[in-house]
Amino acid sequence: MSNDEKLAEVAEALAEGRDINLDQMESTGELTAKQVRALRALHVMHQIQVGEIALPGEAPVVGVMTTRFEEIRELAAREAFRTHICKDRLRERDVVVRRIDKSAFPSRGAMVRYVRDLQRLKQIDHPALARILEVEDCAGDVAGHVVRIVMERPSDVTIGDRIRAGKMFTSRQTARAARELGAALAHLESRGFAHHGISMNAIFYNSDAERFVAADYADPPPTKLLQPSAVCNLGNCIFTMLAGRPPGGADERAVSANAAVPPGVFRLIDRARGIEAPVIADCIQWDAEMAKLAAAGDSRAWFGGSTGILHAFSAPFHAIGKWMHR
Amino acid sequence: MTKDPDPLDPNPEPANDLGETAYMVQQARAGDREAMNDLINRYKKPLERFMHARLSPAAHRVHDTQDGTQDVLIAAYSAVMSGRFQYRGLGSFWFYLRTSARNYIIKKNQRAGEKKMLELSEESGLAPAAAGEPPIASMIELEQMLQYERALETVPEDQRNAFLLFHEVGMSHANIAEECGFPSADAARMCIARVRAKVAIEMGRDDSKDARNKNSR
Repeated sequence: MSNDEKLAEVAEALAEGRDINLDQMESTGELTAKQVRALRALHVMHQIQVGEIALPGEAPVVGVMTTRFEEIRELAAREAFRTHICKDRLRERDVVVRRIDKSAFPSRGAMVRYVRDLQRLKQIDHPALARILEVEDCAGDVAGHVVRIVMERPSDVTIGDRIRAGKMFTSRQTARAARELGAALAHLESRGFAHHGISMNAIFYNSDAERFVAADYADPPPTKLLQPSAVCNLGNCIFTMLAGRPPGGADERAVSANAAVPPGVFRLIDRARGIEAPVIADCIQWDAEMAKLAAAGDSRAWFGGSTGILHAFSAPFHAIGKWMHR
Repeated sequence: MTKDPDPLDPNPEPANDLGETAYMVQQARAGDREAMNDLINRYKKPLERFMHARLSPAAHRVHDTQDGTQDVLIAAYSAVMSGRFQYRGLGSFWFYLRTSARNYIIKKNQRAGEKKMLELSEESGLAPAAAGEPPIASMIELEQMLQYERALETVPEDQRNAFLLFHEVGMSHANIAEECGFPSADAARMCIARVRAKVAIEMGRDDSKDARNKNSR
């Protein structure tokens, strides 16, 4: 390999965020001192220009994800994923940004396939799903986050915000959320995707709680997820909306049962003793058609008529269904 | 102009990505002020950073970065409206802005230097030895900045502009592909990688060796 080819290779590796020991390359004579200085200068220029480092006299860079996004608050964080509400400084709007670390992918090929799936997800248009605005494969991101998904931010508040503030939702609002979000899951399912990350913090609602929109979906690999886990998570959210607390916390039997369940297996939920029967009755009566189907034991009403999802109907939803018309 | 999607609109229009500079230039020229504003807002922040890094402290005292950015953007506005700026695709608008900014910086830095000399001749005993180098000089040698600019001149225009959109504007490969008509983000990435390599090679070239080669010819 010629010296120029070596230089080109190292420049590319640096741009991809790989750790390269330039001092060592200089000391072993692989690169000249001038070449090393050139590589460092190029890298620093890029970092300054995209706001990853602040110059003297410039406002410090706060919460920079990469180039454009200033973190406002965290919605979810797991080992390889982080989701934030961010300010998009370039387009002056608030968005939901999910960063996925390269460690989430077993191979480069898996990542490429995932990004391809995301491009398909970008076409999905459903009123209860936050639209994916941009999908970026940030191989040059020095922080090592290789995939970034920018979604619309549907409103200012999530279900989690309200629950944490000590407020609950009415049965009517909860039923509406269940129906809209269930329809969204069915919509995703019909296109071969599952919403793996549905949670209280990822469901936004408008000021009068008449519209519910799920964000923070599309975990890798989106096409190979188990749909039951999405339904299970939605069940937990719906339970929490009514009860004001997550399932499993109050019932001693459920607590001990959950303790014995290995990670990754669906957990049992308690019977929501704190919720009064009239609330449940309200919930069912609000939608006569749903009440009829619920009484008949057919849960299709929750899912906008989808049948495919029913085969994977999860334990928490069964529990909620039973509890609702006991 | 681009419109942010209404989150509660059941049938939102597809969101526009960054790949629409040409369209916005055309709209602006047709009198759509919001298209022009949108266009300017997209490039304002990178332009501000570009200028802040390169204006010397003395020039900063005369005109701060925001004034400079404003001046360059106003000039760009008038160039777009009058047709002096011709959109030639592939990030040509950013290249136009950065070229205007460089000219502005050279002029301001020169003027600030002249002003300082004048002040020094009158009250040289009181004037402190001002640090005359721009902020970027604390991280990169100015010689390298010149080498970088010279290296860019060796790259074909369309490839250079794609590289600058990534390197200086921070646009993603996917958006550059859309903006510049590459068939895919990977194609844009490969082009940018080639330019990066070429620039690094040019910047890392040993001048003494070049000089020897020239002399031997």
